[in-house]
Amino acid sequence: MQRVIILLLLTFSILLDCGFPQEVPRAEDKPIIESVDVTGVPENRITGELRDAMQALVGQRFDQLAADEVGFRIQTAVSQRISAIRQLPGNMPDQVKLLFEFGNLPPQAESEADSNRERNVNSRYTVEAVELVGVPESSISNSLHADMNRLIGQKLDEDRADQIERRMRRELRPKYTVSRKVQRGSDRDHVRLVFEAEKAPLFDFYKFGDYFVGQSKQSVSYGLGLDIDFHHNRITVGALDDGDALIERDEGYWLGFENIKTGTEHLGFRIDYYDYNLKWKQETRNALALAPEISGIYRERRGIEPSLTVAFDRRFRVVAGFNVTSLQMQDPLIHDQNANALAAGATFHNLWGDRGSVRQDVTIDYSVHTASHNLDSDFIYTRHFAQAQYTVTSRRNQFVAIGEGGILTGQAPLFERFSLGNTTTLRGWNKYDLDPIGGNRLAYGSLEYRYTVLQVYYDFGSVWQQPNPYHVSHAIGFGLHSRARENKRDKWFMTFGIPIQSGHVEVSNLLFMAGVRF
Amino acid sequence: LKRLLIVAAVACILPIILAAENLKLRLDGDYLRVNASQIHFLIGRPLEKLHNGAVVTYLLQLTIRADRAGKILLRIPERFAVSYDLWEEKFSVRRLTVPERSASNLSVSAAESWCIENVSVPLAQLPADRPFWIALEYESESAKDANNSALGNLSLGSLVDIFSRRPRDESEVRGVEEIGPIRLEDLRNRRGGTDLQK
Repeated sequence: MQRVIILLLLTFSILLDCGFPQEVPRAEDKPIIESVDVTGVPENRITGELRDAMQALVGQRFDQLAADEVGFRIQTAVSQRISAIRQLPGNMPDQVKLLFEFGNLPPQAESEADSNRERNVNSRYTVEAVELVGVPESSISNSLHADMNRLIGQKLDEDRADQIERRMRRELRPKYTVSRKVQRGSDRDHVRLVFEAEKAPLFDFYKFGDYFVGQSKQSVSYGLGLDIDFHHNRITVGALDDGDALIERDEGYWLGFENIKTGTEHLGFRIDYYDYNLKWKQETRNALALAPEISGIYRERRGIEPSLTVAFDRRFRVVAGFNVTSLQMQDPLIHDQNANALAAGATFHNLWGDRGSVRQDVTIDYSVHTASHNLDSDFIYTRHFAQAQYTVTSRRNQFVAIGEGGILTGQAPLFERFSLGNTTTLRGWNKYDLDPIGGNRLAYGSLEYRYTVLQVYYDFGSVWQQPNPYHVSHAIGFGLHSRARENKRDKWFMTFGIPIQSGHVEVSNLLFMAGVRF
Repeated sequence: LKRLLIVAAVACILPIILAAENLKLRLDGDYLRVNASQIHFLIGRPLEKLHNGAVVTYLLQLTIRADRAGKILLRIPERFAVSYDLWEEKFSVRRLTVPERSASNLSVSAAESWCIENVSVPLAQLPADRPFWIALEYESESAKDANNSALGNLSLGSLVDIFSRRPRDESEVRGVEEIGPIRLEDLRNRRGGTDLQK
């Protein structure tokens, strides 16, 4: 039996190596030329010799080279540029009519409009009806409605249908998304144009995102996750080694479950579990030794964070939940402490404008964490953090303004403290040079101009420990970034940041940052 | 020993099966053309768009390299506008370079073949004295991508154009098939016989 299998396998192998005849278009598969015609050239300019060459193609199987040769012979003879060689349907299924088109090419704008129409084979059909489904017609403006009706009785025009779709999308946003379909009409000469409005989901899944980022004065950080989606649910599993986001370096894994339609589309539920081992920079350890009022470092951090989100519409949502955190404190002896907090937040996001015009985008986030003895927390604190981002885009130009502020009162663990100076904030500064244990106050701003993938920016801000005075740090930078965004951040970036100290641009302290998010 | 032989035989043919490529080359006059009946790009979301009466633009590109991952010697890009006749239930294809070529009343496979047939490499531009690799890349494009095309000459302006493009839609279809190393001389020797296939 085994011998037979071996023999079969080897035979198969040999046959495969020799090459099975593949399904290659054979000459017999090519259509037969039923007729050959020329347009755009006066009849008298086609010589008898050319006519013979054209006629010689009739009855033959279509051959691109032969057709090209005849086409270019005509081009040379009439001294006019050939604009197209077309195979049009013949009277029989296996026949084609060959057409050589000549003529001056129209001006570019006209040419584009014409060719957009010609590209769609359905543009030869007349529109018998234009329909809007999914929303009442009263949801759109009268002028849009009138323009839709103007398409009736006309040949299908891709460009005009596009314009209508864009306007409709603008008018129905953010509650609805719009798509377009062309369907058969009541007879063979007609089609129906259907615009379909669908309710836009109020929630998108939260994406932790895979990333790999680094700064020349800090180590590389990465996070890798796997999402499994089913219906309105997502399960996330991932691992990270991140020293970029906080003053600590987290190494570990997380698990998450999210439901984006908990009974109603306005309600979402999410729960995360994480387990991290911690690494600390010597700068942080040294600074903590001089600040006994600040809680110390911990070796492990694990937590569970259930939350409910209520979305009022696509733009505004609020979230409330618990952050239950267990810390294995290192000093003076290894012991466990809890940092249990109520967490709440609100997010507003809106955009104005559409493709091709000025587009403005505003996001405002606010979050509060409050931990108390009632929650069995060893740390008693309240943390407020707010962030606002405004982006205006006009063709290839983009301006981004970001503002952040934070207030932390009480005794909070280190992961709740604010810091600046990583790959996304105060780019050009190393957070361990600025404040290696973070602060209980934060004020930060960033102004950035982007032209396509090029960027220049000015970052400024301060992290300080109230009641100590604050000191504002500044940085400028330039670099490249992707235009695509992942998790509201660039998919890739390569940036040089330069700190400004005492009013001087310290080019010698230039920092390099790079990363990808996917 | 028998089990060992079976394992050895399977190990021998697996790479061959995996390496079986989908490109066939043939000389047609002064041009090198590609046949790729196993490659299907009128699929997925773009096909759905076509069935909904939209036009989908495809970029097909032949790339010649000295080595498999080596320097690009030659790049031949061609764009095709494909649409689907809702009444005839047939495809229509238009090559978007002057002189334009078009064909209509095509089945799915005929439309795919027509596109691939209409991307060819002039033999005069192929290296005559050394082997080369040839790759066929294909991808569907949004209308915006097609209009912003900046292939061909790479200049600072075209680089800005390329980087300025909006992120690709994940639902677009794209792929690449390659074959090599090939010698022009081998192709010429086989001109009368079978096509070269790997």
